[in-house]
Amino acid sequence: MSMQELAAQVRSGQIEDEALADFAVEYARAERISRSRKDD
Amino acid sequence: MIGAGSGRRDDLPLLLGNRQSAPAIPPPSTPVASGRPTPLLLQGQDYVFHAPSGCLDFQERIHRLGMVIDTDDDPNPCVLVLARSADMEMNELSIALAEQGIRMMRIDADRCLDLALTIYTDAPLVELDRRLLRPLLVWRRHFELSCMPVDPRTITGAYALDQWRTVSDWLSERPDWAYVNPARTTGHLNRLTQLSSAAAFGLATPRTAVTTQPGRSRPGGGACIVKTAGRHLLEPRPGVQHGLFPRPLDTARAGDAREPAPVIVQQYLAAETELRVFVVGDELIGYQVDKFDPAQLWVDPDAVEVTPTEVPTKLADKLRALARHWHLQVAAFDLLVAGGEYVFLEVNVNCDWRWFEHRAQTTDVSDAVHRWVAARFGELLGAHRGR
Repeated sequence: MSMQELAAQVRSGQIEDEALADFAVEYARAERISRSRKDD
Repeated sequence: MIGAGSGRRDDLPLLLGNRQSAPAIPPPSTPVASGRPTPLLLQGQDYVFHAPSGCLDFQERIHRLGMVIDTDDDPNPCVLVLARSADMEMNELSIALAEQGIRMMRIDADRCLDLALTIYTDAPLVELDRRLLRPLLVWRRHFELSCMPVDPRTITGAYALDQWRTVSDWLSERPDWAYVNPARTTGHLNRLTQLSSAAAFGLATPRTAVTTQPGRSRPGGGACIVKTAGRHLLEPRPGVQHGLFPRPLDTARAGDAREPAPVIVQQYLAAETELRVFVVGDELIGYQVDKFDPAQLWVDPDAVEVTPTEVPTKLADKLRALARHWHLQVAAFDLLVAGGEYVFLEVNVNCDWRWFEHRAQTTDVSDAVHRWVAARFGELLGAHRGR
């Protein structure tokens, strides 16, 4: 699969692969944390 | 922003902050182990952030998982990012570049102790995880050695830090690569060096002193605030960041006490509002920031109002000129609007934009940054293939 196709899956939330779905969950959690925090 | 994975809200409070909107100033004489009073900027500051670590880079994950086959180009041209795991701006860039088929390679300071890495000195090539890549554009931000998980008091910790310091500085200034905000010209920029340039370009600046005796300094003659001359976040232990935020100067309490290190004392200006203006190439994106006190951005960010705003042409011209003068391609200016005049506070080279976008419900800066990086990479790739 190409990088573009995988990126499109992640953007849409339509993820077919379990490992990629795990990444998406971790990413979403980190994103929520970062939203609560101002840096520079 | 990616579309998957909803988690529980209660996994959020890694932030243990002072949630008051107006931080009280405690007495200045709280002793520390050294017998000295606690430094002014550390008094009453209980902001501690535990930065998450672990690979959050999309492209690194899919390549490590063997989910993607690289193009036939070998070595593969790429964007090289030196950052840290929790840099969500760079994590988002990784996905955005993947959508455009642009390879990004990542070295994070908090994950660099177990890398399969070879950097060639006689060719602009890097081998990472058995993949040979040709960085064309390099961006270093938040690659702070203080987040490297080693103890600098041990010989192995000091060794690893020293090796990485030297190599990361070399990677940040190689003449055969192009850079975003090149360290060669932006490395000296701090709150103090910025002020004189801003004034030279016609922007008002607050009266400012740098002193170890803040109780005896009152630039401008009226109310003042105390600010760090260095970073807003200190990381004395890897992954644990402590806040050092601006605070009103109480001269009655500060007295003649000497600080262990100089701090910035700056004239307090009653402002109608504040502006944060992002520069991305020639594009300017402005936000109006309304808050009750200088530290609220960090200690109570949810109470800060952020609204998209136009940047007046006269101000935009000055900010573009300053960005060119400092060789900045992506940066954020903080300004006050006081008495109808724009007052320069600082420019942030390692600026975050996703927090502002989240507050304003926009993606304008992210979109502009992704466009700019892709376009710059395209220029460099064209030049490389034309050789």
